[in-house]
Amino acid sequence: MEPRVTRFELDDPELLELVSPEMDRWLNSWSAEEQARYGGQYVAVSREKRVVAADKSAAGLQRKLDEMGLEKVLIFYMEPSDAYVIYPLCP
Amino acid sequence: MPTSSIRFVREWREFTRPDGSIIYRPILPILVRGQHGFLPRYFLVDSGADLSMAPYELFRQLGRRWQDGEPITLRGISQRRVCIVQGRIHEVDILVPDADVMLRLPMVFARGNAPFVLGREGFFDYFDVAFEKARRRAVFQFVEP
Repeated sequence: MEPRVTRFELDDPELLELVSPEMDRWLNSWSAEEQARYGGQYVAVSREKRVVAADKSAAGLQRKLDEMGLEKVLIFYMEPSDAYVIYPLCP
Repeated sequence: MPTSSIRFVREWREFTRPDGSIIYRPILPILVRGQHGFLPRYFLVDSGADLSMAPYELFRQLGRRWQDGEPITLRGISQRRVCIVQGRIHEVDILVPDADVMLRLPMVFARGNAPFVLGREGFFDYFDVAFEKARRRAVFQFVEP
């Protein structure tokens, strides 16, 4: 049985940029208007700190990324700006 | 289990509400190992969730068979029948880049617009997490197996 935990040092600079604290800081710098624009959507951003695609469904976002041939992007779900997150699975 | 020297801090993400107030959430970048490489995603770190969760679209990139996963019925606060979601549990490898640690943990994949949530099973077995709300940050301490 494979061990459930291993050491692994990532050496892909593109991926490292996508998960860096700088990416956090850039996303935290978004204005309220920018956040509201993407609220309720799955969002993909590039290492250049640019939104490359967004969609209300995860499937829709993936379709857009496939059409653009983009793979190395950071994807997240932007909660609607008026939401409190408790994940009741249904409103 | 002994703690290790691997420790890192992540500032909480800021979200502005319509009234101008800010909500801070503990969100962690994770790389999920897919069929053709790592897939970067932001996960909400949720100590109240039994399991981790992600949308079906992420599962499709793992190169696995859906039916090989354990079926699971997900229930939330609402008791309405339409609020019951069917999913499958699959074991996935995730890389925590801040710690250079790869974990194998169970993750629920659900069709529809599932959130990215990092729950207790698997992740919290190997990381002690301090949610420092007053400092708007989370401190992660790797626990040696």
